[in-house]
Amino acid sequence: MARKGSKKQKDPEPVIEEEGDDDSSESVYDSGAEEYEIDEEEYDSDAQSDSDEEEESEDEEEFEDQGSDDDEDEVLERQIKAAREEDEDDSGDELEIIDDFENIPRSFSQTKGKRDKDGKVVTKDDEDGVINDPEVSKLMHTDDFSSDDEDAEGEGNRIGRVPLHWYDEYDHIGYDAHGKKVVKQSSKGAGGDLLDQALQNQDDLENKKYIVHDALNDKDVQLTERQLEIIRRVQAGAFAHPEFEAYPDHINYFSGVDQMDFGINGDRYEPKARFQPSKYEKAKVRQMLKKLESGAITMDYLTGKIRDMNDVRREKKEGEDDKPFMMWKGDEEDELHFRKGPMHIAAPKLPPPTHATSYNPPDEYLPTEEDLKEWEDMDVKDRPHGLLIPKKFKNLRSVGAYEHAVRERFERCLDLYLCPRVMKRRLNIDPESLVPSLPKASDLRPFPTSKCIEFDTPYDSDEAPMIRCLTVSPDGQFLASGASDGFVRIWEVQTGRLLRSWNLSKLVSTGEDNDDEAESTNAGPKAVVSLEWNPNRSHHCMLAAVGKCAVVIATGTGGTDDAELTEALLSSAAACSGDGSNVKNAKAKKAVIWKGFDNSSDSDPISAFGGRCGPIVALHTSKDVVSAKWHKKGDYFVTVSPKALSAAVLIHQLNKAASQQPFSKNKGGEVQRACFHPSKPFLFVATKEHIRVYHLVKQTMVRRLLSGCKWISSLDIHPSGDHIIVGSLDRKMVWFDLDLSATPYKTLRYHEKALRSVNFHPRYPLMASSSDDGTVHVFHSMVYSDLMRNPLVVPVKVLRGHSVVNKLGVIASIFHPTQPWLFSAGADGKIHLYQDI
Amino acid sequence: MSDSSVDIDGEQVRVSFILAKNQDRSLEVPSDPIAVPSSTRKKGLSAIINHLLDRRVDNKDGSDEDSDSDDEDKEPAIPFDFLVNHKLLRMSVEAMARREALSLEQAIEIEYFPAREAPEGEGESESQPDWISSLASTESFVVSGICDGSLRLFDQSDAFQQVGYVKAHAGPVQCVSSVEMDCSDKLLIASGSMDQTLLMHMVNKKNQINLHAVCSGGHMSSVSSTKLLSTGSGSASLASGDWDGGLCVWNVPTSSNESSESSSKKRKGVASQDVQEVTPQFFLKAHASNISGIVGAYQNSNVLLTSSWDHSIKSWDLESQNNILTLNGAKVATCIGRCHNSDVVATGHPDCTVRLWDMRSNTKNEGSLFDGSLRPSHKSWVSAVEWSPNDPFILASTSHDGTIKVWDIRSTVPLHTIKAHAKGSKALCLSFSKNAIYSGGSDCVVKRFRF
Repeated sequence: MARKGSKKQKDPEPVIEEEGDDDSSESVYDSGAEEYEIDEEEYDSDAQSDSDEEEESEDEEEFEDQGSDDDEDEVLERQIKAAREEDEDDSGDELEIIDDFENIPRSFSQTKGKRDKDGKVVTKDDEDGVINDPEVSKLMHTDDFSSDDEDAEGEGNRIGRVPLHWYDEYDHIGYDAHGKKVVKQSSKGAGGDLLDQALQNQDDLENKKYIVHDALNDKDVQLTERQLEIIRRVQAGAFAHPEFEAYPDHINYFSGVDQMDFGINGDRYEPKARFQPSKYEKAKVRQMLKKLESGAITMDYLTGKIRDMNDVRREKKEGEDDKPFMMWKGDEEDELHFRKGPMHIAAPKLPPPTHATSYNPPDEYLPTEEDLKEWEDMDVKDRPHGLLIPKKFKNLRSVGAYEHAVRERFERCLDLYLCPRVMKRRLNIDPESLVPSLPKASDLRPFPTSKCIEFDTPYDSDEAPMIRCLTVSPDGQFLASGASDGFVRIWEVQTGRLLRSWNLSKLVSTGEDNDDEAESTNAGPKAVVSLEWNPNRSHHCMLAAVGKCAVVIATGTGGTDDAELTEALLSSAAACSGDGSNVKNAKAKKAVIWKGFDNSSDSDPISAFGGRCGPIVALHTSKDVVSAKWHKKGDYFVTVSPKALSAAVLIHQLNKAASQQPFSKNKGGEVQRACFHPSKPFLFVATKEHIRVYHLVKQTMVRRLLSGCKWISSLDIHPSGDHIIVGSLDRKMVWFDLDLSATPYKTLRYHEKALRSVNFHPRYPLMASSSDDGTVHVFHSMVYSDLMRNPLVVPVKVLRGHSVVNKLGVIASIFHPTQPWLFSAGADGKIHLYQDI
Repeated sequence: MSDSSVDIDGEQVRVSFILAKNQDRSLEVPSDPIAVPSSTRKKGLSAIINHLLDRRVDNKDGSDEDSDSDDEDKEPAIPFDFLVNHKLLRMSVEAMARREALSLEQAIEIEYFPAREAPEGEGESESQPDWISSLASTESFVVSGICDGSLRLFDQSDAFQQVGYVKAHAGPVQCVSSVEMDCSDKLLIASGSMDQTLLMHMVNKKNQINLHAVCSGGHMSSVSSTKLLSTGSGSASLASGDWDGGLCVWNVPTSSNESSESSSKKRKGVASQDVQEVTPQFFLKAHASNISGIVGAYQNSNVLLTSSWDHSIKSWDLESQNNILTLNGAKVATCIGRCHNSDVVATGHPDCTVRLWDMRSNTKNEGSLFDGSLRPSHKSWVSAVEWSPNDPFILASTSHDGTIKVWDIRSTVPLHTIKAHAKGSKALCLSFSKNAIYSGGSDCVVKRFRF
């Protein structure tokens, strides 16, 4: 029942049993119009649309009806269901129920059938008017789809699919739906012999009656015209149902612009390309062949045995894991060389054309005759436009061929021929990123930043004496300065008050009266060039170098205990009379004469218990002394007089008033500076270009450090003893790490003029260099106890304030021993104390 | 009277004036809120108060006849200073209120009090032979230590004359301290010198300075600070610090005989009969470097506060000889001064700064540094700082730039700056007595500035 809606594709089920239905179907056709009217009223909600659609398109109408049919189907099914239940319950009413059962669907299906037929007829009429003939309509489908059951009455044989001969011996051929026996026709007496049958057949043939025997029901059935037609059609191999339209007209369901189905661009004619071999496919085949050759795909892949080549590869790869492989593959410098073929080297990029290369250059680009002459003499490379000579053309058309084309091409070829075929690998690294990030100066406090105290040197002459050297007492209370007027002055750091001063120049020159006096009197005062406070806190004395002498001065700052120690230290030196009896070393005896000062030169000691105060002893050497440095323990000291050849470096012991000459020969030029290692028995001796490190106990040279400087002017050892800084007159400051090589760890070029002094701070990680440009540069110089870490050197401050006099700036600088303060002394005669603010 | 300020255009804030505590009640004005222009500063407010008090106000433009006639019998105007939220008003009222996060909706409470007038230079000593390195003052005398090793005594009278002189030390005097002994009505002076000697002198009624005691056996380096502490009932103790960080406490011997007139001439003698030799009560290695200043703690004669070049301020219990509190700074402390009624101390530093420290120390970690409470204002090394003996908010500092600055700790900028010494000469010492500030320096003159 659900299949009844479709118009043309009717159910192909055989309608053999419905013999007498032709008439009814006829009537159905006739009464169709009226029935339709009624239906329309039934569904009056859709009335308007139905009436419209009736004229335009019957298909939509069909859909509408179907929708409403479903409701009826539901009702029907419910009723059937109810009926069956009743059937089971009550068999007494059997007949009535069956009647009902028969009637309800029949009446309904008739209406449906009529409607279907009606619609179909209308269309046929409208469209081609072929099947108006009742003869033809007999062939047409007349099934009213009343039931799937071929034997609705239940009178047919219902024995199922069992061999019929089982019933041969009975007078019935089986049972109907109601269980009654179906009596054999032949047994009723109709059964004639074969001859009768043959005659009957002949008659039938003549009467155009086609009878077939239904063995199951034991009935003769006359085939209807439709059934015959179907048989005929099946035999002919056509569609069985005559009402099936094999070639229906195309109905364009799509709205929108009607397709143009004519003209040359229509799809009526296939394009020519469709009849030619495909270029794409050809390319595809070629591609596959190439892949096949290279092994990217296999025949298995082409034939479809393998879905994905990646599977094969993966398998291969997994299999390869255990195989040996080139460990360093890809790490070679010139991996590129393993590539096939020559290296591609791109032609150099040509500069874009300029005005001069234009065919119509502005006049200023056109060369004058002089220019041309000039260019003639020049090499091609140096000419402003190379081979090209700017020329004006009337128009682009009149520009001829480029005359140098061949030459340029040849040169290019020559270039390519001669160019080395090695690809240079360039590291593409931003050089900025390689520079280590230095910490900010403000994070490295404290360091001296600003001037806070000025020590004013008194002077009589017009010019202030240059301050040549500075030293601070180990406790940081006193500052001593040596000036070019030959004075050594002691200052109080806290207030800047001048406490003591001694004219060493005068004392020394009076001492060496046996020398040629003329020279000493004419030459004016001798500058105090080097001054160092005794680093031992209980030895209250200092060492000055003035002229040809090194002078030991008692400062008189010690307390009662320290004063005794100092007294003991100085006593033997003070007793020296200058006869050289105290020096045992024969060589040193020639080089130096110890000569104590008498007590008349003494001044009041700063401390009430300070003992002697003033110059104690002078060590007269043959040449000018430029440096005198204490050993850390404050007993030994070393003096340097560069011009004295082999006696340039002398080591003295104050306690015993003894001297030694460690070198018998002068090696490597004039010695500039010398100083002791703070903890080990090493002596550093700086000549103009090198620094030699000597082991004093083993008496051997341990190292020679190459500074790279032309003239070393100053030297300082880091308190740890592992680092040396060297200042040079050629504006460099050089840092040596003794654990590293003999070449500088760092060379700092910050000053504009010669460096005069370099210093480490004894406690803070600070370092300073003073220069003739009038500045002092302060560096943060962190030395880590971790041997793997390199020292950190960061410039943190430039201290100004000294003026440059006679091309000399800051001559000396020294750090305060306990505070991050710096004293600087300049050629302008000023001493400044810079402190951290 | 406040109408004159109301009619000025611009924003206004409402303020109510309250007389500060311990001030003259006659200066009280009604505390009702008054609207004043928000940009009013100290001077404007001062004028308003003077108006309210019906005092003469200097009007530059107001030369009206009636006001002139009024002003004749009025009292002169007083400059006032104002406190907002216990801080001195040094900007416009509105800006101050915003800084202190006060609501402008309500009337701002402003305390006022007569402003402290700038000290006026009044009298200076005759030129001394050397730099004045230290000063100490008592009720009636000023003692100065001179770099030539002598001590000079000045009286505080108007004449400001030198009344006593003694050549005490061989080296420059580094520090002096003085205390008046109530029992004998005498002045005790302790002086330390760079030559490592520490001496005690007694001043008798005839203003003669006699050597009282020689402290020996304590210091092995320059005595850089000293402080006499009156322990009551006529006795005193002496604390002294040296350059190596050693701290000595000495007992001051009671004077045995009064007949010291004759011995004054023989002072240079090694040991006259009345001179006693004192050995230290105890010796402590208190600091790593120079002890630059010693003061006694407030209301506790057993506690000493010391400042040092090793960047620390420490307080010491003399009985147990223990360090009670250590406050570490970043800079050298060159001097120390304590507030007269609390344990807040001020230290001077070479980086031009005066810093305040809270040394109240019931438990160990209580002390703290009020950083940034006083801005760097000096141009050079701060050499001395002294607190006012009667005003807990006022202190004075002096510096190598030759100026004296008077500070109110309720403000970050100094109240007054006095150019005490000639340009180029350093001020080295300072003494704050009840009504005057004395300062000395490298120009070899003791100067007096009176309030």
